Amino acid sequence: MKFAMESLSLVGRKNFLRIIHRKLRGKLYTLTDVEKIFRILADNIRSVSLPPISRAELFLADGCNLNCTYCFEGLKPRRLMPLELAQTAVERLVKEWSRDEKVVGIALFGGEPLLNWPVLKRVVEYAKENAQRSGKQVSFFVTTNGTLLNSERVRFLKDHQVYVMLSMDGLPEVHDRHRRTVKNRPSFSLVWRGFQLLREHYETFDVRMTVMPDTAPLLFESVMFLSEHGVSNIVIVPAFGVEWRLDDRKVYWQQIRRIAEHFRSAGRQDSASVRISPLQDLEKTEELVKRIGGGSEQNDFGCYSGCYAGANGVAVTSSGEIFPCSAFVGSKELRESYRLGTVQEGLNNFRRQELYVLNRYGGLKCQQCSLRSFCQGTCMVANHYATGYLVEPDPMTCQKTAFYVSIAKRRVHEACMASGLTHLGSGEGEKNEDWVDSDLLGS
Amino acid sequence: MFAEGRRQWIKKLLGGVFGIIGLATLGSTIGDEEAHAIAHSLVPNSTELSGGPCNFTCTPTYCPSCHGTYCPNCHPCYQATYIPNASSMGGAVKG
Repeated sequence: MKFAMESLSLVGRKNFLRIIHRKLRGKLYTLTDVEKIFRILADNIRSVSLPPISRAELFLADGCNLNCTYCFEGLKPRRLMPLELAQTAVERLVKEWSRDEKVVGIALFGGEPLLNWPVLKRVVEYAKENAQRSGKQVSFFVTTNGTLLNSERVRFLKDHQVYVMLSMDGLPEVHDRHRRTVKNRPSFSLVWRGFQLLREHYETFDVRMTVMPDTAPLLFESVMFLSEHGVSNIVIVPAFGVEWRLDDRKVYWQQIRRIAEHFRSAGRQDSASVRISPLQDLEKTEELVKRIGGGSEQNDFGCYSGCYAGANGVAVTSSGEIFPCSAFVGSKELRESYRLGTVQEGLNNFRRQELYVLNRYGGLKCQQCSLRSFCQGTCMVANHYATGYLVEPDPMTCQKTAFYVSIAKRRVHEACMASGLTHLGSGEGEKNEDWVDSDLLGS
Repeated sequence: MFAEGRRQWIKKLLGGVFGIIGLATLGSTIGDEEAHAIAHSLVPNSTELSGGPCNFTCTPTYCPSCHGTYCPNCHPCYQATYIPNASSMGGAVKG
């Protein structure tokens, strides 16, 4: 469908202006100049070819039965996605958006998606039939708070190979601090019941821990708690949209370091069986340090800018509106600029192209960053919340990279010293660590 | 004498202010060629923006860029490592 207004969005203009301003630093330029550049830019953007969309997040329910303090979606009325709309979205994804892709992914999302259980069930079955008819495969993912799980539901999810991510923050007192019910009651005991059911039926599922500044000091204990209760996949995520003061950030990284050291200790029985997201990144950074050494060279891994929201994945709200990803839905400013259309009327590809170009351009600071080779990229929405710009990296991400590099370099250095080699990691790890603690943490 | 000086000063000030505003709203200091160059530099290789392979742990079960175990947007990496069974799939990210 052709959209009448194919000019840059408000957020797009703000971000592109930021880039242009940097490029024209020291020069006098006018609004006319900026408009001229915007016009040419819009023409260029139209020529960008987009990849197929092969993943969709469906907001089966807008509302939630919990009211977590850090949730980027806020408290919403319990609007449920009608079955017909969900089926249309699935059909669009399988037949139209994914083009020739042979595998499509559907994330059952919310709010709390299990509030719309009858539709969830039908969507899974419908998508399987639909994909089969088109000669494609479909995979399912659900993110749930676990409070509405029962044996029958867990069996259904398991039988249909729906991979589960359970939101649980660790120790009961940590979990209950921010994960409250709508009536402001603690939710741990409710989640624990769902957790036990998942453990019974699933060989493996993920637990996502959201860390707040005030729960960061108990992060290590929380990870140990989950690990002792048999959780094999733990994803640790610092909450975004909240203020992380310098001291909070230090505590967070100290805790991550403690976890890393614990699981790295020789002879640790549980290290092989638990997969914790930051530690995997750390190992990968170590591999990179070994391979490319000091890391001051520029290289283009193609993903330093990170995600491709809107390019090959979209989120569909319960009313059928399409956004680049679920995180965009939580911000009014981003929602207004990056509404990509509706399931009924189709996609606004110009908006997708605009966002793709911005994302591809990456962080402004990233262009000259000496750690760029080690960076895993940033989340545009996290950038927006932290800095006000999609193209200015979230400081937490920069700290993460510096932290991984400093530890990785130290490890490589130690390994080299132990094996008599000195050409790698010549003590820079220590130097970098100072940098993490002073300059970067202070930024 | 003093009044005349003040008048001149005010005239200069107003001229400067309106001049800047006028230039900012109407004028142009950048040529077409430079404008094109800047616009093009924002869309590098515009027809080839397909994304490269990711060097990190963007697997079906974990995306470092959005911290999720299912990132619908880490397509190149996701596709490279995709195995459609329950143990290799992740869940979407929220929080």
